[in-house]
Amino acid sequence: MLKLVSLSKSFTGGEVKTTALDRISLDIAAGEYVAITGPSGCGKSTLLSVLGLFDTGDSGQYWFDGQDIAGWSEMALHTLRRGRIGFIFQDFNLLEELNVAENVELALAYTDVSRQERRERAAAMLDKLGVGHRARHRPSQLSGGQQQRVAIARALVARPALLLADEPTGNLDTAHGNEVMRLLRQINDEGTTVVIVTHSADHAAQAGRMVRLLDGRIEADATTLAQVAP
Amino acid sequence: MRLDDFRIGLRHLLRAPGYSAIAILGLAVGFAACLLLLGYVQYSWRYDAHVPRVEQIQVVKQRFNVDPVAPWFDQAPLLLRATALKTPGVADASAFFRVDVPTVKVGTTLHKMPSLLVLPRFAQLLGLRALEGDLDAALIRPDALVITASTARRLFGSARALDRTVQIGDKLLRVAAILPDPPANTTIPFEALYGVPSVLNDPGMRTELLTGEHGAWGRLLLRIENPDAVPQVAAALQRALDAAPAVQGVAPDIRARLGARRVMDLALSPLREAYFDRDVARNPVSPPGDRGDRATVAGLAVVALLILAIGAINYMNLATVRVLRRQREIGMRKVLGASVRQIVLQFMAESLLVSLLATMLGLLLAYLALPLFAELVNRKLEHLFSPANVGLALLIGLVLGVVTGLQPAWTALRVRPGQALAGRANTESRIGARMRKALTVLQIATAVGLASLAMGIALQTRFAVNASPGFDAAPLLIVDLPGRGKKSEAVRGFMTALG
Repeated sequence: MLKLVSLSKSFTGGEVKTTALDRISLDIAAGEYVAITGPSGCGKSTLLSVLGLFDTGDSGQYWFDGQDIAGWSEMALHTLRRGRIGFIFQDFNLLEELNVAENVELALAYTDVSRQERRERAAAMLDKLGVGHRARHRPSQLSGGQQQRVAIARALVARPALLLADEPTGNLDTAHGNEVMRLLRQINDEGTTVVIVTHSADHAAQAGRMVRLLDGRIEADATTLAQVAP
Repeated sequence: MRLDDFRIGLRHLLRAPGYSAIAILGLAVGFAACLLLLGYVQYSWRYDAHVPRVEQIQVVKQRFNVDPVAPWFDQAPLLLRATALKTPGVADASAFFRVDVPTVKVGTTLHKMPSLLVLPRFAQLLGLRALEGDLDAALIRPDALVITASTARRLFGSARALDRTVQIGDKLLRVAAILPDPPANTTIPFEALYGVPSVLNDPGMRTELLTGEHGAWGRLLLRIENPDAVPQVAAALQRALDAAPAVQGVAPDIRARLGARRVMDLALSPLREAYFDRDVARNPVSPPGDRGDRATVAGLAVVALLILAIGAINYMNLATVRVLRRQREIGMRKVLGASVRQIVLQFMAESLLVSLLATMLGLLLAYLALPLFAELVNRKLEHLFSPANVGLALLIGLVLGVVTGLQPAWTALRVRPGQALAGRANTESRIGARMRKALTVLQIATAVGLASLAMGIALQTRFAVNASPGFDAAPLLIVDLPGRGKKSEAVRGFMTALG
């Protein structure tokens, strides 16, 4: 599904050039559950941005669903991304101007889905994640765990084939964090490819595969116990 | 553009009331000031525009070179009317006089009524149509008077004043036609008309008015349908003037002093530009403030646009800063699939919302300030809020909304979702920051320039108001006497008694 071939990415701040990704090669098959780990500044979030088509590499190749996207315009990447990739963030990034239901509907607002269907699918997804009763509330009126559930509902309502999560438990307490991880496991079991960036070794261990980055390079790429467990 | 874009825009405005108030009020004040100034500019630019086919009408003007100063007058010898009617290219010709009519008496009440004595074809030339009565017949009946609708209301309490009588001096006149009021921005204002055969004119005067044989003057208007014919018509009239007995009879020593110059120069100038005719404005009989200055009016138009630009730049800067604070939201929308077009439309919708709210508030402010402004510029601007002008103001508001939305929309498009959503919100791009700084400098410079200009005008006005006239005006009494009254026995006796 996703294939990086010797992809590099660097940033220039003033006169200092920082290499965020250094000749990364990575192959992620459809239905996999991959955790990307590593210390701060190792390039995890940059890798997720590239995988999510927010950013492009300076060199190397990125194959998305069999297409080499090198040199694609932002518009073309946007079209490719729409409805196929869901995102979950550490800070939830819910829009305070919208209520919970509207936040979830927003994921369908830029598609051809009718308003009625948008409402029905958003309500169903919120119910599935156990926050349907909070649909008319503003995000700030919800607990952190509830906000992340809403964010997950928003990520999934468009039924994406790929879910990218950047530190999804970073702002949650242990109980809520575990609950979110359980949901991600469930989502993957239902067939969605999941790629998660996390600092937590415990959470990473729940993925089927763990990729460890260091200084922009892949230090380790291993199948976890979760993958081989019966 | 979707309704949701406006709904979200409204929520953003409501969530930040301080920002919204400053943005909308700033734009509204600029809009109101701009609207009033542009209203004055439009008023000035549309002088006599109500006259049908006004571009074909020429005013005959002349200057008497025997006078060392020789200012231009928009009056000409009436004998030229007959010449004009015979000149190829002239479709019609007429003339009129502003008449210092004695006070009009209705019942026991006295009224002032600025009137015009008009020559044949005047009504046709200016396209006048009566609301009631027969206008053509009224201008040839000796006892008939034509008045405007507002004059009828003033004199009789109703616009339906046909066949009512008024007394002028010792003559009784009957209202034979009612005309719509001429607009305030005309160089031919009147409240009443009467024709040459009127009992108000002496029999001898009637003949002179029609022939001009004895040198009577009036304001002569010509309709020349082909603009290319104007120079030939002017030349023909000049020849007729040169051959007139009054010109031929000029003493030889005066002719010698004139040299190659004519005794009298004649020119034609379009009625459409009469308000801005600076040559005529300089003559001693032209009432002060009666004419406008094209450069001043154009300058005010520029000032109006600058004021609006300040308001717009102020809003653009505020909106751009707001965009920088909304990078996460923009990033999220991009992540969720918002296209470039959808992002642009969302910010355009918000900008349009602010702009239209500001336009409506600006219209209200301008409406409230109109009486004071009209008094300040000494013009009747009550028709400023016509449906067409309000529609135009809303259209300007729409355009302003689009223009002021460009910079915030462009800034929003530059937001990189990956960095914005990861909490490493990128700051404004270098070009964007430069653009915003440039706009801020332009805004401040323009504001300082306008403030200096306003201060200069205020100081000059204060000086003029407080300047000593060179005498003590307090014990003086000014008595405004009508023209004919000045020669009456009663007035002469009064003047003699004053000593």
